[in-house]
Amino acid sequence: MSNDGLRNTLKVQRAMRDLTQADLAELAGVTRRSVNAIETGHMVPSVLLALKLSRALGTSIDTIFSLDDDLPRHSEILQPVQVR
Amino acid sequence: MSESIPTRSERYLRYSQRNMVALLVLTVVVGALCLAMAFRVDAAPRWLVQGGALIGVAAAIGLGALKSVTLRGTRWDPKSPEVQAVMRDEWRRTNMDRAMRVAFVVVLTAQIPIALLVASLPSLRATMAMAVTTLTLGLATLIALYLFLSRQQKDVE
Repeated sequence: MSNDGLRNTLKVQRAMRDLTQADLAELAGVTRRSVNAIETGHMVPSVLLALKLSRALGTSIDTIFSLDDDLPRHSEILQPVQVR
Repeated sequence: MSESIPTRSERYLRYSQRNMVALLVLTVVVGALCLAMAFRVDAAPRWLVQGGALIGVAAAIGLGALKSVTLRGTRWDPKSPEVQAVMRDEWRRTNMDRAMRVAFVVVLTAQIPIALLVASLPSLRATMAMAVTTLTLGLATLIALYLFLSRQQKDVE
């Protein structure tokens, strides 16, 4: 699910671990509605919540959350620095 | 994974939502009574005093009933992890922030229409009517919008 340039695989990661939304919410210390809102793309989580979710799922944060591909990458924005 | 804790958390969440509905109703009723008092100060006093007392009693009974029906004997302990999860919930805070922004704009834009509405009243009553209308409108918009934004999403497991 994608929202505001943020893509997430939370539902897939959760399903891989056979967790319900309520289970994950309990592990992350939020309500099930927050987990549902993130999965359905209605909410972009804070960094703190994203870290809690990644810890609860035992995976890295960029496995769950990633930027949409149409956003420019670092190498496309910055020019290489010339050292004299 | 235990089933009891999510159920309790869900119960606390439902209780919190229902409290907001009760607060919305109370806000509208009290706001309407105060407005009636500002607009019809001669006709109102007796039934308003009685009505005000009744509202207090009804609100206390209603909130007590709401608590016992929704929590079903579970204590509302602010330090418990489930209550903390509900109170610090990010979806809840996000919706409250959104609702606050909209309520602020609504209150600001409503000032001139309200002023026109109360222009015919004596200055003291007009000031009171304007204050009550602004408060009621702001609070009612905030709570109603918060409840609307917090409604259950479709994709739920």
